[in-house]
Amino acid sequence: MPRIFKSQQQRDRWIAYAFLLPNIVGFLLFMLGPIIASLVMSLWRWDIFTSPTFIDWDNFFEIFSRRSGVWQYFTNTLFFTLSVPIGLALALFFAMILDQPLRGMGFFKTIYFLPVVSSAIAVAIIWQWLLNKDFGVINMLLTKLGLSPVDWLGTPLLAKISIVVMTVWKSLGYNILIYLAALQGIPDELHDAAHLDGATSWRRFAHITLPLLGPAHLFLFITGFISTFQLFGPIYVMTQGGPLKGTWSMVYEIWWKAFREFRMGYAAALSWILFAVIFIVTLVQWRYAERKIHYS
Amino acid sequence: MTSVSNWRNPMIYLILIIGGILMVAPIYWSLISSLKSPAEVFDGKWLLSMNRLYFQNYVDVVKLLPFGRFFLNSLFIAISITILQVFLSSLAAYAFARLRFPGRDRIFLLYLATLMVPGQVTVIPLYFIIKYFGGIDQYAGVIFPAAFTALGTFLLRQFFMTIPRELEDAAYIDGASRFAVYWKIILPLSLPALATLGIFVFINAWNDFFWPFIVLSDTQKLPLPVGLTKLATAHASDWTRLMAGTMIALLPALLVYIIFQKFINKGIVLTGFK
Repeated sequence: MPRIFKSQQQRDRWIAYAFLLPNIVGFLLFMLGPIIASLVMSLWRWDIFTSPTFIDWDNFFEIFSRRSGVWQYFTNTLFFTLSVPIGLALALFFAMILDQPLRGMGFFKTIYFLPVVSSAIAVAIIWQWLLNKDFGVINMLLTKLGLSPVDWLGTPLLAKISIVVMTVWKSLGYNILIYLAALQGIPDELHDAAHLDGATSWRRFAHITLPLLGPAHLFLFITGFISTFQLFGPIYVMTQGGPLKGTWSMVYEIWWKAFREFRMGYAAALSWILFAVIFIVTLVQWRYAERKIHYS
Repeated sequence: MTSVSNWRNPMIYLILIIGGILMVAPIYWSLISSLKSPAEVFDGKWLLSMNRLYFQNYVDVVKLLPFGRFFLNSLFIAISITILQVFLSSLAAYAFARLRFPGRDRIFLLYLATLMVPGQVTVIPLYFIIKYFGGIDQYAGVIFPAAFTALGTFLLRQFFMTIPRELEDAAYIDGASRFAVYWKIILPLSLPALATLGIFVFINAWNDFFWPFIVLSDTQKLPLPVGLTKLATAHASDWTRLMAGTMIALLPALLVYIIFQKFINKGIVLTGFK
């Protein structure tokens, strides 16, 4: 028996490689290879029509120089991440309500989830229609209420706010679902005990529910932050980065530089800056949370 | 928590209904806009009588751009990605869950680490790799890079680890090979997990925009979201037809969700998959 077991183990090694082969090929070709190539490209100037030149760190110097405009694109992107705290507060509110043992909650969960499974492009076009200056339903309602219509996508600040609102709307159902799952993991005894001790419902929320949702907060903060940082499709459809580059995000700039201006090396360098920002912010959130979260 | 008896709390329902209206109204408004004639679309009416539905928009939009073709392209691309991704993930997941080989856990970690890297970092070199293989403006150029994910492998590995080994041992005593066990025991026992992963991959592939947008330019090959942006840029103020096109892209995903929602909700909670 031991002898058979050993030869089985040795055979396993080759069988394992056979099982992994297609994935290893795909992984090297479509993930690891491009990651390394992108690192190398970031040190070159290459416009795809002429042969590339090695320019050391010049792409990075240019990114950090004032004329690159990257600071503005970064702050635009940061503005979009406002959708994360706003969206999470709303989602928690609705999740607390939906957590009650009442009839019809499943129906509401379904309704709130519809935008999540919708294509981001379709959602962007829908919101463009709602927000239309002359014929949009939102301005129609404002006019009915006696207010003056607003050019939602016409000024940099309002366009940014519109994109935040749309993002909150689209991801609300997802955030609710994650919070609901976390709420259901909190044992009822904790609430009952606090209730007996005479804690008000607000204190029960602040001292029991909120802290015990720590892992869910962290997860939603990080994933929400990452996906907002990568927002592209809706911007391309709704504003094309405008007006006055007011919604021009980091990812929009990467795409523009690579596939409109054909500055491949510069765009690759910029993509690493984006990665660094995502990485650092994730790490900071993680560290901060480690100290505060109560894992049960 | 003290249980609240049914229908006792009108305040809660009021809040939920207001929230629900805010969630559904944009979609509903777009749907009825797609069923109004171009002359009526600016009338601001929220209700339509059934005999005045203007289906001509759907007929027109298919003439403006080949939306039927977009639909089939989306279907073909999403189904191909789903089958490939589920199958390839299950192969790797089986190796990581059940087989012993040197460096297994380190390879697995490296695999997972790539989930951190945003798509924008890889997209530029990936474009040239696909170009090198002649995949630009081809379905294959969209499908193959999307067929490999660490996430699918991770999820299925976790599921395979929960399958009791005794079921396999009996097969080994009967002389079954590793592949036979994977194919005839592990896969059939994992059908719920495979289906959940499959539904997710399908919806994500159906809605995916960035990569197909980069790779494809031939109108005949575009999937719905990319085709939709063409319509939106070329016929920006043609709202009734634009809404008809949007509905063609939107409604199938909503339908899939409503049919499979139990699976999907459970899957999201387990995995955090979006």
